[in-house]
Amino acid sequence: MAAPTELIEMKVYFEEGIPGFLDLRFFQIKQQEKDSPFFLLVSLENPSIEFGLINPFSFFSNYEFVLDEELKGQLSISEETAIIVLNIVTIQTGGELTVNMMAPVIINLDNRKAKQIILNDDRYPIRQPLFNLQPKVASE
Amino acid sequence: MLVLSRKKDQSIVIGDHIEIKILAVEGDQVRIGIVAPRSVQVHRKEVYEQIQEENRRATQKKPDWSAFKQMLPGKNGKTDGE
Repeated sequence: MAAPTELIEMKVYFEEGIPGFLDLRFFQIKQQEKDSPFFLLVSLENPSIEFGLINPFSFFSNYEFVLDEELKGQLSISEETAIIVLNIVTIQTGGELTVNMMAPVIINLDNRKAKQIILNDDRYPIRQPLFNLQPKVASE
Repeated sequence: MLVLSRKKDQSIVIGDHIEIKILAVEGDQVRIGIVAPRSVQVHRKEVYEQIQEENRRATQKKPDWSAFKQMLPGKNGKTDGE
């Protein structure tokens, strides 16, 4: 599975919708800029529905899981397929940004099929803190 | 809703391919074994509901990613270690 090098901006298709929005199938995924870990996912059927997502590997280098054969079949993923993994970000009431590590979004960049999967792995919470809008100390 | 009584080690079968077995009953907890094809997704209902809820919350406020560029963990957004 190859890593993309160009700016990612394309229409993607969630055959089963997204939990909470099962009637929405067509979205536009847009990378903020080339190599950026920040993405937006906007519904083409209801443009008021928009998600912010991140490339999890830019922030959590130990994040790992196995794509099961069923998912690979659904999205037609093989060894040569270019895919990306993204996780939805929530801005919590106090301004904290959290990442849904339990339910990553998998996108096949070759055929544009996408799915949000649910991991059965206690290491990955629904609200993993990412950073606060008012950070106390800059990390670098 | 169909309601059935089952004892420990008894099963119910749904269709041709799904079996649900009562493995243990301890107080108000029941351990359930599920045999189903891989194409059938099995989740604890509350987990699926939490994902739905978090997805809905995530659409309430849109992050302005252009404001976060300086918060990247390192060059090209890559971290080493941690």
